[in-house]
Order: sequence, then structure tokens, then C-alpha cells
Amino acid sequence: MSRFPSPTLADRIDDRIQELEDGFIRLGDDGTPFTLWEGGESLEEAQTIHSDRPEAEQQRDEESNEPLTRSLSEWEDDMGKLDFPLVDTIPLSEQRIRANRVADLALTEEFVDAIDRDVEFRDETVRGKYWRGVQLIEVGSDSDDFPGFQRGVVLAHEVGHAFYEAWSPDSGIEEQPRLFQTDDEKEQAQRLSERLHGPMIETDGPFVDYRKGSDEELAAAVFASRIIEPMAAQRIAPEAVQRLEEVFGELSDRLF
Amino acid sequence: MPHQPTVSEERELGFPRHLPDQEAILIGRIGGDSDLSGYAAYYIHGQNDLLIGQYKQKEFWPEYAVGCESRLMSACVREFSTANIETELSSIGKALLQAWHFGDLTPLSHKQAHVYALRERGKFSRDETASILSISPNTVDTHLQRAKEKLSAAENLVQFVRADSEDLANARPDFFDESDTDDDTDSSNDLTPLS
Repeated sequence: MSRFPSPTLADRIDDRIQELEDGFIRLGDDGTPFTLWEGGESLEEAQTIHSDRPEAEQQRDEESNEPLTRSLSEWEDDMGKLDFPLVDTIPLSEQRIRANRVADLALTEEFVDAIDRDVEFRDETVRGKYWRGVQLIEVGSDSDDFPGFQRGVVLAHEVGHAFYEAWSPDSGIEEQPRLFQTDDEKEQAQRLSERLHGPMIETDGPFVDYRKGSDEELAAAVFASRIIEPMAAQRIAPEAVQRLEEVFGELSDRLF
Repeated sequence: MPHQPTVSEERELGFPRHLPDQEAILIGRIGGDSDLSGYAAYYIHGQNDLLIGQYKQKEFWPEYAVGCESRLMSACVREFSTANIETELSSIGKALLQAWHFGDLTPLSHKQAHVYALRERGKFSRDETASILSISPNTVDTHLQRAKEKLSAAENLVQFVRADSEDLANARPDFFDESDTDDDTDSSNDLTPLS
């Protein structure tokens, strides 16, 4: 998975990064736990408030991603049902644990041959890769970047590619439906992809953005969301997640 | 140390024909003077998508997808070749486009059409065809044999329809003898005249 597939698209995606008045930077127009980064005074204040809560309550709140607010007062009024970005959302360390767990399963059940971590990619925009012919996953080190491009989400995404390959026919002469079949499933899958990695690029030519037009890319995004933030994934994209669970669940009893 | 991709030595249109570690088969490239001019089009096995992107550092970097509903290689090639942009097909792409027509206009199944087009029209070897379609060489043989049998039977039927009564009276008794056909269950149901 690349943050930016090419210099051409990089320029167009960079245009979508916005510096907000409260110190956050945001990828695209919709702030999600994965497209908001940095933060200013309000973030520091929210962190202080959160750290003053009982430890068990903190941990329970950080187990799942709830709808976001960047308004401190709104969040304080209902901390159980709302999240403040980078405060009571699922921490990056927990995201890595969840991704590592499913990666270990993929290794044990031989959907993946090997996983190389801390790879230094020649292209600095690359965060991870799945080599389908050799069933190898490579992931880089964490860098100062949006959470959707950090190791946890990236590793879960690449493992999603491995499961997709195990499900999909090898040959291009086999008739088989795509994973996401209905318009609702596709639309919901795109929503999760944009939640993790920011907006898709609108194209004016005859072809569509790779992330949008590729069934496998959408499946990898839904899979990553389902692994990292299962409750939010089911809330935001119920039909797409259900379809993925049905298909991938048949590959391994221990996956979901 | 990042994985170094294995790349086919055979090149066409300026790109490797086959990228084994990405299971990618070269279908063509974008021509003309659009923003995408010079981009490669590879069909990715397993993913069953035809993707458009750049080839650099011995890797294919997809940026766009060809919106083909079917996962068949030939159907995706057809979509690519009819896109509203100038495209140039590789020799594999050309053979697969023929496969799409064979599948549409002849009694051949999709599998048989793909193999027949690559072997008989594209003149690809048995092993090359197997590699292009991601199937075994034995499967190539099976599909090719059945394709030839079906086309031969269809040709006989056309001859029969066109023959006048005098020719039929003089026809050899074994002209319609089906005793030597194999036991493939779909062999008698899908026989239609060639267009």
C-alpha cells in the first residue's frame, strides 16, 4: 500500500491536506480517527481530561472508535458516545497489536509465507506491499504521518490482500462474482477506504481511481477496518462487512 | 532489504510481458498525447482486474482500474480496447481480444476460447499460454483439443446446411457419425452454426 501511488496522484492528494484552526491537520474534508493528525491546545486539554479518568474507564473507551468531535465541550458532555481524535480513539499501539494478531494467523494458516517488517522502501511514499506471486508482506517503519498510513492499518490492509488472493480464482478464465456485488456494498466499502486513507481521486478520463475500481483494494480496506475497529466498521458499513465476513470467514474459522 | 521483483526478460511496447511476483500480464499501453500516454495496462491474476499505471524500478504501480464487470481476461481486454482513449494492445492483448469474439460468436466456452485464441491465433507456445492464463499446460491441452473438436463439428454442420440434396445423397456414411465424439456432457447442447 502506498500513501501516494504516483507523483501524479501525490500532487492531487497533497492538495487535500488542510491545516485546521485548532491545530489538527486533516486529509480530505471528513475528519476520521485515521485522517486527523497533530492537533493543538484543545488536544492537549482533552488528553489531560482523559488521563484524569479512572484507568479502567480510559481503557474501555479506547477499545472502540465512536463518532468524532473536535469540540471539547461536546466531547466532555458525552465522552462515552463520542471520541476526541487521538485521545480516546483506538491507540496506535493497540492497532498494531490487532494487526499483528491477524498477521500471525495468516502465517500460521499459510495464507502468507513471510512478513518483513521495518523495510526501507526506495520510494518514500510506500508504506507496505503484498507480493501476490510469492505471498510476501513487507511493511515499513512508522513515520510522522496520518494514522491511516501507520503500521497497524497498513499491516492489516496487506493481510487483507492475502486473504483476497486465497479466495479469488487464480486464473482469468474462471467465472466468479466479485466480492462486493451490490451498489450498497461497494458504496460502503468505498466509505471505509476513504475513512482509512482519505478521499479518492476523481478522474475525468475513462478509468477510475485504482482504490475505487479494484474489488481487491476495497476488500483490503474493509478487512483492515474490520480488524482494527470492528464495531465502527460494522456500524458504518454493515453490508460490506457482512459480505466480507461471509466470504473470508469460510477461509478460516479463527478469523472473525 | 526490500524484495526485488522477478521480471520477465521478454519485452513488448517497452514493458516486460510478465511480472511474476505481481502475477501481472501485459495487455497494452495508452497511446496518444493524453495525461496517461505511455502508461502500461496489466491484467493481475488473482485480483482479476485490468489496471493502468506506471512501470518503474522493475515494478508495476497501478493508479487506475478498468471498470470491467466480468473477471474474465478477455472481457477486461475488450473494455480496455474500447475505452474512450487511444490504446495499443500487446500481442497477448490482441489474442485475448480475439478470445472475447470467439466466446461470443462460436460454440466455444470462455476457457476454450482463451486457450484457442492464444495457441492458434496468437501462436503462443503451450507453456506460454499456460503462464499467461495461470493454468497448467495439461489444462491448455484439454481446452485446445475440445475447442478444435467443437469448431470442427460446427464446420461440418455448416457444410451440411449448405449442401444440396445431390451432395447429401453421395455423402460418406460416416459424415454424421458421432460415435467417435467424447463424452463431454455439454458437447451436443451448445452446438450452433458459425456466424
